[in-house]
Amino acid sequence: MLLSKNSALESKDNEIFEVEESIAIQSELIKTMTTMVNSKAYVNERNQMVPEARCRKQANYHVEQNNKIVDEELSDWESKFFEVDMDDLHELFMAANYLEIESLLNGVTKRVGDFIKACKNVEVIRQTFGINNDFAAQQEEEIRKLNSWNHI
Amino acid sequence: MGQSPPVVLGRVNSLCDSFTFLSSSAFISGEGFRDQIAVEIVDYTAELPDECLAFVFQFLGPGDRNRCSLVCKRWFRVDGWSRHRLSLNAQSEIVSSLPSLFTRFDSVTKLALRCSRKSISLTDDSLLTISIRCRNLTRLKLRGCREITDEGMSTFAKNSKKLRKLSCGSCMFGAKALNAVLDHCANLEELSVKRLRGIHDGAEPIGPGAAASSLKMICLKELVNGQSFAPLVVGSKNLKTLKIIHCLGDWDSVLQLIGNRNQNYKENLNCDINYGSSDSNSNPLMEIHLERLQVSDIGLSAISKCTKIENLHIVKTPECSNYGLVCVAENCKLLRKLHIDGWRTNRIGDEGLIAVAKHCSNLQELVLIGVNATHVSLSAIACNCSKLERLALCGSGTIGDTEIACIAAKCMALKKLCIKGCPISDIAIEALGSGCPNLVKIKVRKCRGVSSDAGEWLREQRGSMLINMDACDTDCGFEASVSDIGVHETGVEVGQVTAVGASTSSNGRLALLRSKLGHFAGRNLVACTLRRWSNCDDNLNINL
Repeated sequence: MLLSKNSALESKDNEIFEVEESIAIQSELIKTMTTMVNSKAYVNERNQMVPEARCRKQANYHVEQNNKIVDEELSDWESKFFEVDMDDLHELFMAANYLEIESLLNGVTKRVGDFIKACKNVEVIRQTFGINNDFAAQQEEEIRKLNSWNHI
Repeated sequence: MGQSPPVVLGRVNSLCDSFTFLSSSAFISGEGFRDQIAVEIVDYTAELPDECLAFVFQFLGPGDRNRCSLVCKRWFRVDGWSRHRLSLNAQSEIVSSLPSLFTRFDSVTKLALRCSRKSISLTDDSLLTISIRCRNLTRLKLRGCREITDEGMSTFAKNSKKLRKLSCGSCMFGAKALNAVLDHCANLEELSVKRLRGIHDGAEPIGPGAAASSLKMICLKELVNGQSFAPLVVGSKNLKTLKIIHCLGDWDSVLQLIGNRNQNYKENLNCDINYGSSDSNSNPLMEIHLERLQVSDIGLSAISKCTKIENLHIVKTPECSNYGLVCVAENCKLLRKLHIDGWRTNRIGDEGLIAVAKHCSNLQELVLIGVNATHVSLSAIACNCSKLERLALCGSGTIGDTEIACIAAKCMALKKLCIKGCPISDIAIEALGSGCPNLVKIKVRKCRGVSSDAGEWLREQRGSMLINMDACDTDCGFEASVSDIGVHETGVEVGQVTAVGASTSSNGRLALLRSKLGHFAGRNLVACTLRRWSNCDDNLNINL
């Protein structure tokens, strides 16, 4: 199953897709796995070690695309690539982190940062990310007081 | 990067599956709906490990981080331990909040304490508290902390062994404080001192102390007693960058001591035949900025002994002349960046620049302000400094169309050009239209002879270039006089400048300039002149 230059990766939802090995090892996790196991045991091991959700497949696909673009167009392509909604961004984030793909992780975190910067106040941040406010009123007040010492 | 794999929260996963439809922001924004489903809101960040969240925060400024810290308890916690850089309003009232601040921000390595002139700053006690709570401080910046004394700095220094950078401005402590820092912070690499009020006449000299080997950058600015720092500057034997700006005192002698350090190494060398290349013993100084100082050609000659210099700024030092520059050029062949502000004293000009052209073939960046350079030296530089990428020419009465035409024809590697307040005209812009093939950015400011038409024309010629030009029509003062004169020539003579929509005032100005510039105005004449120069330059090249 493991072809010479291509790696076959199986995701949790049992989809198998091939990527060039050089792309596959951009993921630190996969890189580690390939060095740890021999090729025969590889496929079997992989079924268990890679509990993927749909998002993992997406991540691999996109990483492949990533590598095909030349440098000049890369920044344009990247900004478009990350212009996704919170759902997709979340999936990408999880995938990038689990697979340990540095470039993808950088792009995603910057984009999440952009989301935060666009929020005018704390309540909007909570809404954007779907977070519950678990502070007591007094705690919030204390934090605001400390924050005011920050020189901005 | 070493991100740890996330802990997959099964509970949250099922929540995700069941309530996916809730995750669209449209639902969440509805107030009433939100109340009903408050408990089941999807937290997008819940599955992310703390390290990932911290990584996101790294891209945010303090204002955004402050907002993040108020979102929820988890975000507050993550922001707290991941804030390594902190900038505080260092007023005296902060003392009661310091313990809470540094319990919350327990990993601060880079700290700035800024106090405005209107407030009373924090005191020695506060600084002590900070030094005890921040055991891993590597950088400290103090601005306007006028209540901190020599003793306060000394105590701080004893607790801050890991300090690598100190920058203090507008503080009131003196030489004792600095010596304490230099004695206790043996890892100090960068020291920047500006407007230190506590250094009086007769103050103790400031020496490198325990930081003699570690110091790599020293910047002294607006100090009354510059001489006190001589031992520091001379004794830091691994110094790479030295900046002295507007400090009183005679700096020639200090520079001589630095320059002679090289010779001392050489003398020691003779005794030890195992020494390798000659590079290992030459002065490591790579960057020197001298600005508004009492320094003369003696100082420049001393600098020329630092043969590794790559970056030199000689700004508003009226006692420096061509002689000193020639000395530097002849010995510092690795020079990459050169900034000269001649302050229009006319002591540095073609002669010095020709020497630079001759010896400094690595030159990448050249800035000339108030320096009367002509095409003679600029041509030499253009021809011989084949790596020149950035050039700025400002406030010089000798930089005219011929000079720019010269640059356009010969500076093959030039990427960025700035011309400010020079007597050039549209002819110069025309020359740039077809010259400098690698030019990506051009800035023309306060050049009265250049019309906005020229800018438009240049945009058409070189579409990919970033062009930043004054709208000279509004700036220039002689609008009225030109229309009075009533010259009506259309701008055809200036070659391809499109006269479509050109106002009579700009055409009139061109005509006026043409008459003023005399024989340089005609396009054909410019071409002839260029041919003449290239012949001259051939001779120049042979001699070099």
